[in-house]
Parts: sequence; structure tokens; C-alpha cells
Amino acid sequence: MTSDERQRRMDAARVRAELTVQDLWLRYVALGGTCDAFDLDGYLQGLVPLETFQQDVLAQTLNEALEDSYRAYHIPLSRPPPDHADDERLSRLIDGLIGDQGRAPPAGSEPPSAGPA
Amino acid sequence: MTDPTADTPTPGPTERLTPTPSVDLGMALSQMAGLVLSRETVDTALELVTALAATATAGTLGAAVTVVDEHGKRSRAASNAATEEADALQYELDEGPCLTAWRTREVVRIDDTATDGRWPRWNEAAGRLGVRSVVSAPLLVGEESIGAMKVYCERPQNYGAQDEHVMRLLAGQAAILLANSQSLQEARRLGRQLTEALASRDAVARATGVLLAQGAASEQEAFATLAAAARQADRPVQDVARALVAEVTARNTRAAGA
Repeated sequence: MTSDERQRRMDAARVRAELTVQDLWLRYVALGGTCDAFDLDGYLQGLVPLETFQQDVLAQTLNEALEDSYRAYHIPLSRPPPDHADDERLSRLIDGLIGDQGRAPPAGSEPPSAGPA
Repeated sequence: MTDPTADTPTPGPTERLTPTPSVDLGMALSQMAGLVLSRETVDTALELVTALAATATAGTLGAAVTVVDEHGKRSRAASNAATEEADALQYELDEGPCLTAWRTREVVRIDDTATDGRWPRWNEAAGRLGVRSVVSAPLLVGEESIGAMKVYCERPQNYGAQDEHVMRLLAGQAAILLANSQSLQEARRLGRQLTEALASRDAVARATGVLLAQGAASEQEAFATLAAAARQADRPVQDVARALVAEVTARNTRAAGA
């Protein structure tokens, strides 16, 4: 993807996720982005460049926002499955990131420490 | 601002202050700092305006302001119970002079509720409360109509063009005050969002730090790792970051206790 195309797709994603530049900026800051709202606006309009790292943070921000807006239309089943499976998947991933050493015994003698707080 | 942390998720024991982020929060904060008119100030000033309306229009029984926003329709700064009741009837029946003033952005005058045919249900009910004539002026902020301000009188044929004029002027003042209290709410909302954003940012920064300590080559790489894990787990990066930090903390605690 060319950088022009990337920038255009980012702005299209922003519109699709129904975010103002200000709202987008706040979400981007929450993920660790360091540019100000003015820079972001300039980039989305194709006027100024953005560092690759910042572009990545912005891309992730937009992907999450799109996911959220899509999820808002999800229809839950009448009997939703327990989300243990979800938590376990996350905790396996975390183990993958930081190694298995010092892991809690899996037999459930302690509450799972890896869920969102 | 009473308690900006009230609605944020409870910070865990590991939450600490991190160095000031390099983003321009100053801009956002100074925007908020300009809006320090408190809710109490606005209420007092609104009461002043309705009291003024009651005295500036001869024969008035009571005055109040109707506010319409996403939370619904309600009255503020009503000068007496009868006024509040007459207003409540409008909201209940969804008809009446103030709702029409709000919707049409025009001043509405009723000379006699006993003969006026425009809002039959409300006129009849208000008549029973002793309200015979009404002037209601819309509250306009720029293009937007945010409610209406009205005076009620027990006598028919009480108000004329002069009263309409006075009400139009006072409604302008009330609208400015209300717009102010709405921007205060907006500032509060922004403050809450900022606090939440900072909490998430803290988590992401800590998780990035953990990954760097694990040997990630750069912050960019650490972020990419988090993003990849988030995609696989079908969770936001923030959740993965929190879970990562929580797991590391839990392991350290166990190691210390063992």
C-alpha cells in the first residue's frame, strides 16, 4: 500500500467509524500516540506526513474503532456462552509474550490473574 | 469539578503516576479551565432571570424555564409550585405553549386558556390550575433551540406585545446561561474521557516497558507485538496491556511470597 493510499484509507475508516478528529485523537492518545490533534487532522487530510510508528498507533486506533462500531450491531444469542474461553485465550497469549516461567498453577487454586481489571 | 475520578475504572494497586505525557493536553485543559461557571452559579442566575421576568410582566403568577435536551424535558428555576405543575402537564401531554415555542422558535401567547383552541388538552388542565394567560419565548443558542421561558397569569387577556418583547429579551439571557451550563457538562465529559484515556495510555506504556525488558528492539516493535496479540485475542490493545501488566505483577508477587 502506498503511503498516500494508507492515509486515504485511514480517513475513510475514521468516517466509517463515525468519529470526529477530536474523538479519534483521544482514542489515539489512549493507545500511546504522541502527536497532537492538529497533526492528526493534517495527516488525515493529506497535508503533513506522520512518523511510521505514529501511523501504526493510528491504524490500530482506527481498527479498534471500526471493530467497536461493528460490534454495536452484534446480536447476542439467547444463551451467550461463558467468556472463560476468551479469557483463557488471552492468558495463553500473554504467556506467549512473557514466557511460561512463574506461571500460576493451572488447577484454579488461585483466581485467574489475567483478565481485564 | 467535583470528582473527576468518580466514573473511571478503579485503579489497581499497581497504578502509579507516570511522567507527564508529551501530548498537548494543555490545550484541552485550558479549554476546560475557561468554563468554570458552576452548576450552582447557573441555577442562581437562572432564578434571577425568572424572578425578573415575573416582575417585569405585570400580573404574573409565576415564571420558569423549560429545558429540552437529550435527557428529556424539564423545568428549572420555577418561581412557584403552580408554575411547575403547569409545566409538568405540558411534558405529560406533550403539548402546550412552551413546547410549541421551543419547536417553532417563535414567541407564543395565550390570551385565555378557556377559549384558546390550539392546545385543547393542556388549556383545559392548566385552566383547572388557575392559569388563564401565558407568554412563552424560545431559548435560542445560535441556530439551536434549547427550551423556552414562560410566564403564567391567573387573569385572561393579561399579556400584550410589550410583554412578548420583554420575554424575548430575558429568554436571550437565560439561553446564554443555559448554554454555559451545557458547556460545563461538556467539559466534565471531556475531563472524564481524558482521565480514561490517560489510564489506558498508562497501561499501554507499562506493557511496552515490560516487552522492552523482555528484549523487544524498540517501542515500535513492542507496540506491534501488543497489536498482534490484540488481534489474535480479538480484544482491544488496552485489555491486552492491562492483562500483561497484571500477569507480570501477579508472578512477581508469587515469586516474592515463595
